[in-house]
Amino acid sequence: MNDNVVAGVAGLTADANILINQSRIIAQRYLLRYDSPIPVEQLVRRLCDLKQGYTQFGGLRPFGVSFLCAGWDSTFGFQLYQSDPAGNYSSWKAACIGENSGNAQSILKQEYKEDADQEQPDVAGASMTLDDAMKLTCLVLSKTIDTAKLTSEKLEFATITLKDKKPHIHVYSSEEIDQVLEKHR
Amino acid sequence: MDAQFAIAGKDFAISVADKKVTRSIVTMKHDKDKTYNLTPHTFISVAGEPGDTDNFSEYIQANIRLYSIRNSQDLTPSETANFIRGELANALRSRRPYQVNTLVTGYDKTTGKASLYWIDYLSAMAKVPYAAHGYCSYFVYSTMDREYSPDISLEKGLDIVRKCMASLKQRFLVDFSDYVIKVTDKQGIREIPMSEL
Amino acid sequence: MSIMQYNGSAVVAMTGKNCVAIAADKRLGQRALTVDMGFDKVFPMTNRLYVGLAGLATDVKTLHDRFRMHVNLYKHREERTIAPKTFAHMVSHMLYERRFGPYFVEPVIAGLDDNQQPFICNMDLIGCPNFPNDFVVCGTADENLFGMCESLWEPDLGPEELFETISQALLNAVDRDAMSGWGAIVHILTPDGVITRELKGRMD
Repeated sequence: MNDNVVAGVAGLTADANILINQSRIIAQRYLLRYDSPIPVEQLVRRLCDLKQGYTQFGGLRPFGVSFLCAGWDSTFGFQLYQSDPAGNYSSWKAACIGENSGNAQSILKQEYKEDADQEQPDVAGASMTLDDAMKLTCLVLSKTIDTAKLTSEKLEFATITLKDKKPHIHVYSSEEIDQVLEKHR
Repeated sequence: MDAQFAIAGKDFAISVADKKVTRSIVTMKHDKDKTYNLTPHTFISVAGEPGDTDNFSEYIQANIRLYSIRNSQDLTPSETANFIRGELANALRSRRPYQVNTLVTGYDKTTGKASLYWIDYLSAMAKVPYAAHGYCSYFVYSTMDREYSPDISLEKGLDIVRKCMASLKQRFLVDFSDYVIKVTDKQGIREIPMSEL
Repeated sequence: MSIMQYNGSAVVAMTGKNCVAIAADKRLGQRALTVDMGFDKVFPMTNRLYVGLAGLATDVKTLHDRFRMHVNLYKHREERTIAPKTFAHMVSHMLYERRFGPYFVEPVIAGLDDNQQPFICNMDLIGCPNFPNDFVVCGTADENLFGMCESLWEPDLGPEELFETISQALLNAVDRDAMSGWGAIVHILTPDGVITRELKGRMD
């Protein structure tokens, strides 16, 4: 969606394309206006305002898309937001959308390692490393997708990390996905 | 014929603006505050066409405050300056441009640094250590060039302000006599009365 | 005096062997009064493409912001970075859109294309492009720059020789121009990365 926000979609992909396009324009307009990257929540909120608009009037159907938006901004650090077609959004440490998301949710609930310091939970969320998180996502996918073997043909991976104090989004190539799957089998 | 200038140190910034409103050869008002607070740590001082300055500043002030309320977060000085420049630049190519020269003075809470942005009526913008607008710049720039260094203290900053005022008093055709002096630092914005300078 | 001379500027770009250089002075003024001695006129668009903007300072900023917006949207839409030639045509188009109320800016574009070959281009303020294979200049010191480049530039310079050539050309050109100067910034684009150096000239 922007240099600091990456999104995964579930639902009608054609609808998602429209929303992704809009959110890219929203993010770039913000950059044009303030010369700084849009805070993650503001982008999510603008996107959800758009979705909400289509639930209020007759004659048009809502966007049939849920989003998972992962992002980073200088005020709140790493953030994860989930949104639904009605335009609700909420912030999570781990979340899932789409088919079988109920099962996935319960696995996440069990396996997710909470932040060690519960008194002052970091907004970034957790004591989990990127590798731990990759392992957990592989586990969730393997238990929720109805195939014998996970392959790069059916999966996409993207991570957002900090590189030289700037957010860096990496969308995995199919070779990299196979390596990840091999590692966390 | 407005006089306005400002100085930014490491963790504070001072802005000075005269209080006169003039039209042709007549002084209409002696006690006009030409500064506008935008956030608890950022303010602007404006000079130019009297109607335009008020109208533009109030528009900017309202929009910056609206942003704070909507997003529970204040814009940083650099974001504020960019927003102001953008609005001025859009107006410049409209049917009726604003004729407003602006100095944006702010303190960034997260980085702990003060900054100063010079924006002219064409909306050219520069981040500078010290700045002035209008005729007054021909007098105060030389003083600030000589006296300024990046690590000055607030006291030294105010001393430069005194010297700039003395130079204006001695050599400039117009007698300003009264100024609004505002400082921003980690405690926020405060005004320093002329009597305490 | 024309509006193009209001703020003062000098920008130059040169080709070398598998490298390209772009440089600009750092002054911002209001006619004869100097306001800022650290004003950037050259901006990165991708890590292989820089654009230099000489002319009215307000339009330098406006255009830079608009270019950045379109380059970012292109990057996300196409999932690749914009090529120098593509960017040059985009710039040309954006300037000609304002044919009868132009941005008072003459852009200089310098980049390395997919085959690591140097690309340079300059335009007038309404976007008429020009693609020479030696050097391009613009700004208030353009005539001086032409003279310097004409005598100093030679084909197939390596990165370090190119740096020396462009630096000497720019510094000596701005020394005889009252509207530009106050130091300079030079970017050398090579296949291994960008080398950026700040120069001090006659600071007066």
